[in-house]
Amino acid sequence: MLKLRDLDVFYGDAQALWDVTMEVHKGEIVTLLGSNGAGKTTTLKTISGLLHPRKGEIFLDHIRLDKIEPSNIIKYGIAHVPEGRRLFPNMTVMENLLIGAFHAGAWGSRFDTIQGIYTLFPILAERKKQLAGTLSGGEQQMLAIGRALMSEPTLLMLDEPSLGLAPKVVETIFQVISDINKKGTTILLIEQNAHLSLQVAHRGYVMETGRISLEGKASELMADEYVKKAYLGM
Amino acid sequence: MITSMVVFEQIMNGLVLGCMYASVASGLTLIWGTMKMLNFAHGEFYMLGGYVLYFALTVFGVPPLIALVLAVGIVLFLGMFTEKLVIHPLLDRPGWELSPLMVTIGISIFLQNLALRLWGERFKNVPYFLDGTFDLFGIRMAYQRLIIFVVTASVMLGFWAVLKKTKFGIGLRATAQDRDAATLMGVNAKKIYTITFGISCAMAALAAALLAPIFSVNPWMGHAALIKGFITVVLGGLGSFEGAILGGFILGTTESISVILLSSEWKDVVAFAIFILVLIVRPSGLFGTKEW
Repeated sequence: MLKLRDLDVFYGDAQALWDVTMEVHKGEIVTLLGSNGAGKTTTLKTISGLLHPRKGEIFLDHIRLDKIEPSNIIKYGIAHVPEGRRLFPNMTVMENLLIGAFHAGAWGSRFDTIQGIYTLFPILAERKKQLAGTLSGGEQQMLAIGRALMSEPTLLMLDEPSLGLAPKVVETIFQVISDINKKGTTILLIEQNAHLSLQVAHRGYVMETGRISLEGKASELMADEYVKKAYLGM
Repeated sequence: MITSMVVFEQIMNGLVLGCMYASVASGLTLIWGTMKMLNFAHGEFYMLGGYVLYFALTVFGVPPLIALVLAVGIVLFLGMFTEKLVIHPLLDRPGWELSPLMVTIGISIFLQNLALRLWGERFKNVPYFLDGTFDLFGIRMAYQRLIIFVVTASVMLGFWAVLKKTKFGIGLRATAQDRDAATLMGVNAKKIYTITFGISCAMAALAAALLAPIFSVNPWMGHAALIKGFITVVLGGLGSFEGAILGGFILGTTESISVILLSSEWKDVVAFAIFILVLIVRPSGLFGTKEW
């Protein structure tokens, strides 16, 4: 459903991505592995239009995404949970969720969708009047995921959802990610924790210094000697 | 002799003045909060509001209410047009800290001289919207002052409700807090900026139009409004809407009361003294620098 072809992306004059080609099929969980600065976040930002490729194309089914205004990307069913969550700290939990449904296609049914989110993360219902900035790290991550789901996406992109969270919370978050996927949402997951992400993912890509260096089924990558050494610490 | 009557009367005058400061300052703070820029042409949009009202009222003879709507509406449109024309191209370019500053100073000079050229340097007098006075606890108040107070207060309250309750308000606050994250949610930040800039200018125009019968209209009237507006904004806390309103009333009433205690030439001295004192105690203003 999502195809990236030969992407070159720059920050000013500094090139961050070289010839990135990857694909996400409908219904999959695809993980993008790599160390800090490998270009994973850049790839997601390019898909959601915050960065523009200097070369290459992005297709969602037959729609050319890299020509679309960044604020319109979400209308095509792509939701992005950014690195560091990027909640609106001075807005309440409920307001943060409502803004997730900002685009015209989701706004009308926002109060129905929000009930679904409260069922998924009951803690958010308890805290709905609280300012987002006052939540704990785990709650903030749940809110960030909930906010993205409010747009009723077909493709959910997550950037380091486990970052800075206690192992127990990480487990909960990954359980939810896997549940969301089972209900039909395709997922593109960036993780530094390769153990976890290869467990939930169907397929994976490994990124190094702005290039895709390896790709394959999650089980194959887990067995790969190089991945084992470099990313699984075995 | 200072009687309680005189003090009360001056407090009422101070509140009316406070309305003007609050209205001008909330426009400035709105732009700072969302776009992180200062608008040095804010005073000139204030002036344009005054002129539109003057022409509508005295040349075309429309009723005051319609003249007021015209002043606010036309300046809203002019503000949006200006933003599209000169601020928009600067967005996402290096030097954003300085470039809007330079550009708005340019617009300010341009508009001031345009007004001078087109409409002359004579002060234009504007009639009261409603003649006559009424009694408030034994004090005679002109209806005009009541109108100023009621209209400004309801517009401020209305705008506050828009910020908190409407889809546009949620989008605006989200853009102010984190533009990229808001974009990911489907908020078109550039559109929000254009509308915000327009609303900000319209608020200045509203203040000018309401006060025109008291202060008269001239090409330089925006200058004092801008300075007082900046003081109010910094007093209340840059970017804080509540701070702009509270700051406006504090500044207005202290200025008015100082007129009884000292003489009227001292009122700016008192205003600046309070401003400096507050900044010594609370360097980021009464409400602190805020994002919504």
